[in-house]
Amino acid sequence: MTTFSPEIIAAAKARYGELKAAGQTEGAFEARRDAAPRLGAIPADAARFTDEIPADWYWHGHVAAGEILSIDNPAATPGASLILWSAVDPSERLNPADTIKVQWTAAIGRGRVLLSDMGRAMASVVDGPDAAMDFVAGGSTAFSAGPGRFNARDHFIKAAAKHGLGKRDVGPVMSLFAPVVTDAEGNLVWGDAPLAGRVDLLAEMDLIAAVANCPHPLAPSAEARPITITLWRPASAPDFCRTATPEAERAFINNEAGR
Amino acid sequence: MTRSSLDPAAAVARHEIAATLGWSGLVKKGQSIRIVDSCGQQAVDTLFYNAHDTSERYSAQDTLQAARYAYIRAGTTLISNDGNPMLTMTADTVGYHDTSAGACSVESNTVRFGHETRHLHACRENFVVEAARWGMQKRDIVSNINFFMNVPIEPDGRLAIVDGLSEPGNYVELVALMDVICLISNCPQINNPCNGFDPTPIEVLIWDPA
Ligand SMILES: [Zn+2]
Repeated sequence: MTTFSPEIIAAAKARYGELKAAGQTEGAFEARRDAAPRLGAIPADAARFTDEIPADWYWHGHVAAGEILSIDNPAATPGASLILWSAVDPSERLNPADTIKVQWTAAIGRGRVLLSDMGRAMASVVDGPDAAMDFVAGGSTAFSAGPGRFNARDHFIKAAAKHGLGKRDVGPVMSLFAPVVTDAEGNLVWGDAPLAGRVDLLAEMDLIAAVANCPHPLAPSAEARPITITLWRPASAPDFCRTATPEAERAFINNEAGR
Repeated sequence: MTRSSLDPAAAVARHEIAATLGWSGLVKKGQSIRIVDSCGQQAVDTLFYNAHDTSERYSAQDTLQAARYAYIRAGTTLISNDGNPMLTMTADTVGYHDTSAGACSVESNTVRFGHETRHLHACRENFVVEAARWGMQKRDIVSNINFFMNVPIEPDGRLAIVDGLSEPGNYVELVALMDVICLISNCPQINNPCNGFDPTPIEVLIWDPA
């Protein structure tokens, strides 16, 4: 059994304190994020694919490294859920727990990265709101949506199946346009952030992605509205997320090592 | 605080799990499983699977959605990815437990703490080995419960592992509502406070229904 000397323990404790302070003190990250240019409208000739996804339906497909997966929500549908697998090795997938733990916050938005279970950035959130994504409560299920209605979990099982994967590959998910917050008592509540808008995810590796346009189970309204998926390649890839935090920089060391 | 009336002398199984190691075992419907934090401040990363169909497993998100509460506490029913109740927490002498921050891994340690930690043991290493005993793979490892791990999520979203609340001998107890496989990693992490920077042994006890 491993045992650790008091010196090693003291050093680890001091280092954790420094990392936590750096990760949770407002300033450096926000400054880098706010200084980065916004993406703006998607150039008409830049998109290789676009589709409007009806309420309660889903989309799935490949997103190549360097492409942007844009999810536009003009009519403020209350939540759309997302799952990501590595196209090269789908056993590597989005890890919502690592994404929030490593970045010291459940308020993930523009400037942050979406992490895989292998310590790599799968995608960078290159534009969109500063938060209003849920990694804790997940997406809708047969239970939450009720009988006879499509739900995110079942859509993801179908999407997985169409890429040679299965139910075992559908674990925890994240939701966009879902301002779920934990209140001071620990209750999960729906916040008041605006829902309409676009989220732009830059693929940092070749991905299989699935988006379920199903309302979030905690949303006050269960009425879904269409969203639009666009896959496009910007003239120059926004790279500010790579250096926005020391954690992101270290994740990209793993991206490079894993290529 | 919800204490248990079960007598350790009447337990049908008793396993001491040494610091940093993994363990797995069956808990049958109606049985109760107690996990004891023998020395205090020791995170116990735990997963449950339906013993007859391991594609059905504990789902942290289904569980929190149903409870509309961010932590596991006495009275919480653990819900599977098929929406079925798997176990209910019947006793807890700590207060609340994390299920959103996941298990430590060699890979996430490099991102979180630096690449110099890359040769340290981690929970997901234990999970992969224990899962393999039951025919499962890395893809079967989902977000787990971290018993005795204290990860408050602030209203502004900030979250961090902070000093554990558990004292030596604190425990949680759950009654199984279906036959389950229990996977445990007695967390070996020394880079954050989840184990008080010093991993220690834990104990698992199982009782038949009264
Ligand atoms: Zn661990």
